[in-house]
Amino acid sequence: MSRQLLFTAVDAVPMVIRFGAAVGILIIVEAALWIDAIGVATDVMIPMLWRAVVREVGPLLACLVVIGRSGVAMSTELATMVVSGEVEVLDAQGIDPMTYLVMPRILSVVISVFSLAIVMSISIIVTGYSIGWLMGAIHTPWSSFLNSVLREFNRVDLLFFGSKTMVAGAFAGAICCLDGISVSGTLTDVPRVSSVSAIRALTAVFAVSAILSILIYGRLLVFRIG
Amino acid sequence: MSDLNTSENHEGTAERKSRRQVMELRDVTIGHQPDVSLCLHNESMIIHRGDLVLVRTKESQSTRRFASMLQGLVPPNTGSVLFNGRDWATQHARTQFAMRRRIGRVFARQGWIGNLNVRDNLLLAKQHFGADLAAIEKELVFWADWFQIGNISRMRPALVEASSLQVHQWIRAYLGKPALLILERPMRSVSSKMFKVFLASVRQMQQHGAAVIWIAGSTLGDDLDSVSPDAVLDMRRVTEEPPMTLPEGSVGESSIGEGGVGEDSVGDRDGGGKK
Repeated sequence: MSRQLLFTAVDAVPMVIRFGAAVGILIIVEAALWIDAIGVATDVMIPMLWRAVVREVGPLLACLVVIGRSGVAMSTELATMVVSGEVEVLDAQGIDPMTYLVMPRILSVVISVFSLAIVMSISIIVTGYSIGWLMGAIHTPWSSFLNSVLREFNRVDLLFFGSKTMVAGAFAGAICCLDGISVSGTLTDVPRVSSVSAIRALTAVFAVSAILSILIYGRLLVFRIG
Repeated sequence: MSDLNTSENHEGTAERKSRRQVMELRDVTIGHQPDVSLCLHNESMIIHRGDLVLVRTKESQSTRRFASMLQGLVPPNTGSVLFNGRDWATQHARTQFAMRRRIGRVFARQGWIGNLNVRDNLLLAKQHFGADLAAIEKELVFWADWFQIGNISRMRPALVEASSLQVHQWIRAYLGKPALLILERPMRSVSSKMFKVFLASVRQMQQHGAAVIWIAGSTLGDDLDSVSPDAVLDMRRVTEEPPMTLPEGSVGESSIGEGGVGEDSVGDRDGGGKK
């Protein structure tokens, strides 16, 4: 479990910071364009940026990073262990592969997605502000900007953030692990299983994200549900 | 060579007196390609505590499926396999895992978790189930001395020399004093000079009540004569059976092979054995 967390979460932090920085620049440039086009003040854009980042972009990107970096590695590792007979070695010693191999990996993915989404969101916000300030798109001082952001934080944000990171992370981890451990065939089947698994996990993450948004907002596009 | 000194030994002696049955095969059929793997055809046998069954095979025959069937990992084509009086097929998965903890196995081929070092591999199951590691450590030292390998290797299996790796497999199989030992070609990759030491270790395990199923290849030759098993299962004598009737439209092998059971049926002295 600790090894998995080290690989899935800790080792991924530099990459997530770089990724978040790039996305932060994209978002702030786009926001600056809209500010100019619509003629609104930066203060109006802050809540929109915050919600977009915390509720949608941060969790989704963290999931993508974990699937691309660790999910594929997990399904490949597990499939290789099955094909090479290592899983049978565990079975033969009375060790349940589900408790020894699968569950710790799913848990580590859940924890990693949650933690990395926080890092990702911070990276996006900080980089976005820095670049926006350097470009002259943001005129608000950092302390005021930070206060505005923190004022915007509410329970619904927490609900979005927690559910989207944990539920989507659990789906991604479970799909990658179960696809890997249920492989049958030879070593040449392993790459195929890994790529299929990654696509299935990505699809699941987008689907879960959309379903959670519908459930939490209670709306499907402009139509209120219930 | 000293004796393992634990409380279980005394309990083991008492149990052995009662000659409890450890493994039973009831009309088991498995495999259908005798040249490729070990096959049984409607065979029955009973193995008691302290018994040693020698299964003689051809080098070309894979033993993995047969050994896995004994551990309840692979179901037989027909019939039942019982361990400690319990049919693998009727047990809950959790019970099956608990039952397997009482079985030590030496694998003929892949027997290691590649990303753990050898020592961690040896201790993996014991740590996983929260065994008394001090007692296990004692056993490790005991068997390391017995086989004169010095320390237990802390390198990954891929980096350890094959003969040394095989000796470590023996030690892993012996840890925790299992009720059943399945030895799949245990002398593979090991110098024949080690045979006597290994045989003595098997005898030691038998004295502690373990039933032993020794699946041997043909390379051991005369050395096997000194094993003096309680029974021999000779799987080298392949009998061609009449063509199997297959369901319409299916494609399959043309015959069922049978590994004949030797004259010394297991458990005869206790009234059991081949039916």
